[in-house]
Amino acid sequence: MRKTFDAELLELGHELTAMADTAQDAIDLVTSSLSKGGEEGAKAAIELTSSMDQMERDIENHCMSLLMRQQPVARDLRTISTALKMVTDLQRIGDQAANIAEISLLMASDGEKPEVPEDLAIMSRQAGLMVRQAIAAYADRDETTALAVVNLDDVVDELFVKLKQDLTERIAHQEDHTGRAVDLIIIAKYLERIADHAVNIANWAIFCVTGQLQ
Amino acid sequence: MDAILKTEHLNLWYGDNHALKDVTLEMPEHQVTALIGPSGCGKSTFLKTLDRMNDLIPGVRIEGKVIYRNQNIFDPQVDVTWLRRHVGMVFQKPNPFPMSIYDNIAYGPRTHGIRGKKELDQIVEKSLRGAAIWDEVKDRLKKSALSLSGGQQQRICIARALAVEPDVLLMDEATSALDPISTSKIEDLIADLKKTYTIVIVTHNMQQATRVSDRCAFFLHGELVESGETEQIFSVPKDKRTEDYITGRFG
Repeated sequence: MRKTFDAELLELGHELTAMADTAQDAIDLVTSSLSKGGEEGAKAAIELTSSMDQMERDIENHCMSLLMRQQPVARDLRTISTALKMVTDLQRIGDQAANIAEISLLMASDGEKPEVPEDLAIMSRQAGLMVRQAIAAYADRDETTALAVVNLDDVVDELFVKLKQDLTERIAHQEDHTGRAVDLIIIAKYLERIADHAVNIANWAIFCVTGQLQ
Repeated sequence: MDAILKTEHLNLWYGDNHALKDVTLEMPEHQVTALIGPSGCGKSTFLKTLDRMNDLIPGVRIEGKVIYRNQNIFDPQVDVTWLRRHVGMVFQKPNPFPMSIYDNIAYGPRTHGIRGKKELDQIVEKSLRGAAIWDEVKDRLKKSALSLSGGQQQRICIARALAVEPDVLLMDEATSALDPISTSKIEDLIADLKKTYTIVIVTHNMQQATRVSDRCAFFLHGELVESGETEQIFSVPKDKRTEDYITGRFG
């Protein structure tokens, strides 16, 4: 029974996974381009994030069509309504990655090749991983992975606080170009926001499985 | 939550077939309770039992209680006519009597001894208004009820049930033979009627159950698997079998 509907729900999971993969690629590209300098990586990241706009629309249309045609209830309804919520978080993640890319382009146009703190690179990897895992938790109906993503947020928050302190100290001791340090703080804040959106997605994944809102 | 009607450990056998298994369910006053489940799950049997419509079927054996206003309807002193005056039934297929619209509605009250024309006129109008069909038929009350459309006939049957002023209205798939417009009229009517009556419906239409009912009871193989608020049943059902049924994984 209901082979078509199950196949459509599976496809919806694939679409969200593809969008999350794109977000993670954009985050990776933009942070590696920061330390490498140059415009190429940042431009590629911006292109990736703009392709996410179309993905968002496609997923929304798919959800609306499933709601209309299948009139889902219970877990099916949660699977589709959470997809509608998560796609917005993914889109915001794309926006944040694009914002980082813009800053990176500005730095490159100034001819700067900033020394990127190791913690920022770690934050970026963590945030990207959280996005990927949150969507995987949804697609696999895996509450444990979703909870792990929620818990990872503390690590990212701590890294952000530490980075902010380090960079503020640099500014205070005028060890570095002040504007550059402020840019790096803003980038760290964007990464911290990306992790927050990943946590939102993980919470929706948990709701999808249990029916309980966190 | 006051249950005007409830069953306690209700069991029913058609010969060797155990059709209802230990069903305990409360149907609260002024609420719509929807009975759902696949064909043959016992929901219609359960509904009919509430009005003692199974009594005359050969080989039927019933144990347990159906309690209407603190009275077990199977007690020997209970008169079935009294019960059916208070617990009315509307069937799947509209079944108006082959007589005029007026006489269809007046039939029940006449049976209960009401003869005065003025009083009958009042009852007929009130019942037809209650069933949201007065405006459509007021100018042709003497016409045969069989000349009406299916949806109108079903509302005539509801009006006929209302004419004896019952407390409880049982509806067995009352809209399954109707088009979407007639269905939505009956669904609106159910929402109005529950202010005055307590309603129990059997439906195969899950969307209808979510639209009209306050509470839902899911039957499977004669067993009551789960009952609760409709919102809960259709968002986070407790039993996997309920989830599988309402999402169309079987049934």
